[in-house]
Amino acid sequence: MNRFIGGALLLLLARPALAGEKGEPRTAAQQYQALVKEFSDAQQAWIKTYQAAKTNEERRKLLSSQPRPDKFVPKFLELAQKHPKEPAAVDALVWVASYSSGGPDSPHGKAMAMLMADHIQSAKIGPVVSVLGQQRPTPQTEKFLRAVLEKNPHRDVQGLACLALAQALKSSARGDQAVVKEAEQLFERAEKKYGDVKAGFLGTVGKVAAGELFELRFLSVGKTAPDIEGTDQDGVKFKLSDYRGKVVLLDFWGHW
Amino acid sequence: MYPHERSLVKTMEGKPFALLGINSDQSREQLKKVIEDEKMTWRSWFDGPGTRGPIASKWNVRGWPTLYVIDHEGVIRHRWLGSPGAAVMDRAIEELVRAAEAGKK
Repeated sequence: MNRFIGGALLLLLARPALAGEKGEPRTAAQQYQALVKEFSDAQQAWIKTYQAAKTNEERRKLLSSQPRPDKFVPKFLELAQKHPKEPAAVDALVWVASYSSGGPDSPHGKAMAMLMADHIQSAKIGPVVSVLGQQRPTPQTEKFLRAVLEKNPHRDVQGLACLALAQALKSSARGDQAVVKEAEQLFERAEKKYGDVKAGFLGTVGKVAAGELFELRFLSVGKTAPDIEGTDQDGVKFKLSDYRGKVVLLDFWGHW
Repeated sequence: MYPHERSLVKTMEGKPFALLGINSDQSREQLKKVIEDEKMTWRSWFDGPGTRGPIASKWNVRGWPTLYVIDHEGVIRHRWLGSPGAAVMDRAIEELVRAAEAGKK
């Protein structure tokens, strides 16, 4: 049972494939579409095989052959490096940055550097920004998000950057109250200024920010825990406050 | 997870300690079955179906398991995303239980 709600890694980038004429050199856009289709096709085929599996043993074995982005990451990066001025280059870099992680020398790092140098103002970098908010932040991450927040003219991208930067700061704060304070201010700004901006399957920027603010203000070490009310496995009502006077280990769990 | 928690509950019998779960499985029936199969001797709120129940949502839980340790005065003293391991958990809880017992004198 270890499940962490990720960002774009759970989303399939669904784009219609454009067919090039047989024999003609393919444009960067066509090459991009072809790579996206290749990955998507591989995933679909695997899903079919997985769903057809009859036993848990079969399913367990299949997990190791699930198509991973790793094989495609270098191909997308190469495409962007060969055709840096094409619109498809941004798409390819966004793909690499969203589907991989790593330090400055990794394909992820190289894609981030290219996005930082040439595409900070692009309308297309929203997905990258969202994914960065969910990953372990690096100094490169923070720099990138600050630059996007400052320079990107598109409101929805700004909103995602404001939220992602707040999340990155919050998770890297390690008790540093100055960093926590900045995270709180950014969450407040995200909620007030960009509340309606869509944040993928998590809802809106406002909803995510409100949840994070609640956690910062009421659920951090040193705060008095809010009460919990609900029903147990037999439908019997009980509250957390029923156990005041005892040390309580609260365990959010699932068996899945 | 279950074996450590079973032994923790046993060790803490008679002491000011409670293990309370917030379960996000698909049904109360499923929860009851797991409790029976895994011999879970502690209570869980049923917060399902699924991971977007009212308690998990209010507590902004995004990863499972998420663990909180609350002292005998209701103050949050530890928060772990994922288990920090039995040794860390036991040490933290034992310290707070000793404080709770001292507080009652």
